[in-house]
Amino acid sequence: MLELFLRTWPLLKTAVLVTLGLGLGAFVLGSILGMGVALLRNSPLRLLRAIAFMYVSIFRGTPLLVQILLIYFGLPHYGITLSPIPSALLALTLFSAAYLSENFRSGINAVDPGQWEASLAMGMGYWTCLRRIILPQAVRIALPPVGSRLIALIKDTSLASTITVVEMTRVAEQVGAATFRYMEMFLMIGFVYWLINQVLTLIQTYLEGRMTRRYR
Amino acid sequence: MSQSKIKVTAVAKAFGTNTVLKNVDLEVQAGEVVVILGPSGSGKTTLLRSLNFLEQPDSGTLEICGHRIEVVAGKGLSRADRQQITQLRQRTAMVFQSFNLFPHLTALQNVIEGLISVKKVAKPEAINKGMALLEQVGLADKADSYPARLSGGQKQRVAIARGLSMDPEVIFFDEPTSALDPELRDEVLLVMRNLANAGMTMLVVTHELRFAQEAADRVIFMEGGVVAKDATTEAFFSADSGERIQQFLRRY
Repeated sequence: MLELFLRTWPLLKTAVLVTLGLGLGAFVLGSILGMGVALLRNSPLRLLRAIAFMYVSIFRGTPLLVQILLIYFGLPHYGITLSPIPSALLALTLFSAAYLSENFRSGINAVDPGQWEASLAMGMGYWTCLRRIILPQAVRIALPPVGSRLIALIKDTSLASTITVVEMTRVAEQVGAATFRYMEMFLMIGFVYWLINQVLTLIQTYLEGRMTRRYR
Repeated sequence: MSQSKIKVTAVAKAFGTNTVLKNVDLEVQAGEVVVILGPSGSGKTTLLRSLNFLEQPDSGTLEICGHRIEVVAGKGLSRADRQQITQLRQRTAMVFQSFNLFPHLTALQNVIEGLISVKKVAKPEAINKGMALLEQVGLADKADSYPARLSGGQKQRVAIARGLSMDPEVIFFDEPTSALDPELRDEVLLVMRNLANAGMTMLVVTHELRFAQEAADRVIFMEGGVVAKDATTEAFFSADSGERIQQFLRRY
């Protein structure tokens, strides 16, 4: 298995970067979009709330694979043609934003209403209060589910292999097909997925500890 | 001539079908310490929270520190009203029963948060002022402690320092000692008494009769959403304050 690993390493190396790039990229973009959706869902305007609700309903209620295929194979019918990697990144972003917005929203809503009152009572504006008082506390509450979402996202990038993105799963398929050593190849990339997610879990645990310390 | 810091007329508020305030009038002069007493559900906390619009009255005219807002039943607040509210909030402070300190900030950071993010004071200047205020409430040594490490009494004193940081013209106290056990109450009441002696205008909802007796200039007794009695402290605690007041006072 070691010689197979060394032999496929040049290919795999790039594929790991593609997997990480897709996963982390969609996480960052999805977090920004998800935060926007979360704030819209708490908006006093019913129309904005409805739009945000529909967004979550659609992108959380349909399979990621279907969304990837729609963007890659469906959009060209309307003159929008995206290459495989941008297609995958877009789908992963839209999909994860739906989930992350719910994580953020529940985090924001879990902050004691007294925190808003204390801020507003000193004449603080909505956005200042959100940024300086509410979000720092909401992030701590939302960290565990958001961490789980990131880990799920890293694994979900394997679906990009269906639209010819050469990420880890795609490489394993290709090398497996060429060498008939499927078992070893899938075990190998399975291990790499696991390793990446172990590191992410460690980072999450560290951040959780750091953020929680001041609360006790 | 004394100057009125608070002047409200015909303030009404209902939660659903439950009418909590029935056209309440109230006036507080600069430097006055007014204690609001009354049984639970009498509307005293709602009245206090209406004054800085944490609770929006259904109707009434409110003039707080020179900012006038007229609330008409069935009509929302205008943009100008909202600006008035933000400004009056910057000129008043509120101390809550449950402290509402910011748990992610240290005691000092709690005290200077408003200076920095609302008043845009430079950080070194804010820190100097914050430390002086913590000194004033006897907590300079806790400046770097997070709220989770403070006792209830210490938290409330930090909350008072946080309110003072904004140089308020009036401080609203909403049952500031109700969440504290008796030993911790005294340290908070002492700070409040010092403020009263220093001439701060204070409006205090409380069940602390002793504080009312010792520090208040005036006592307001609320019941059933109306001001049932508005008297000087001396008159309120005297034997001829009326049957209902005597009955209320006997229960303590």
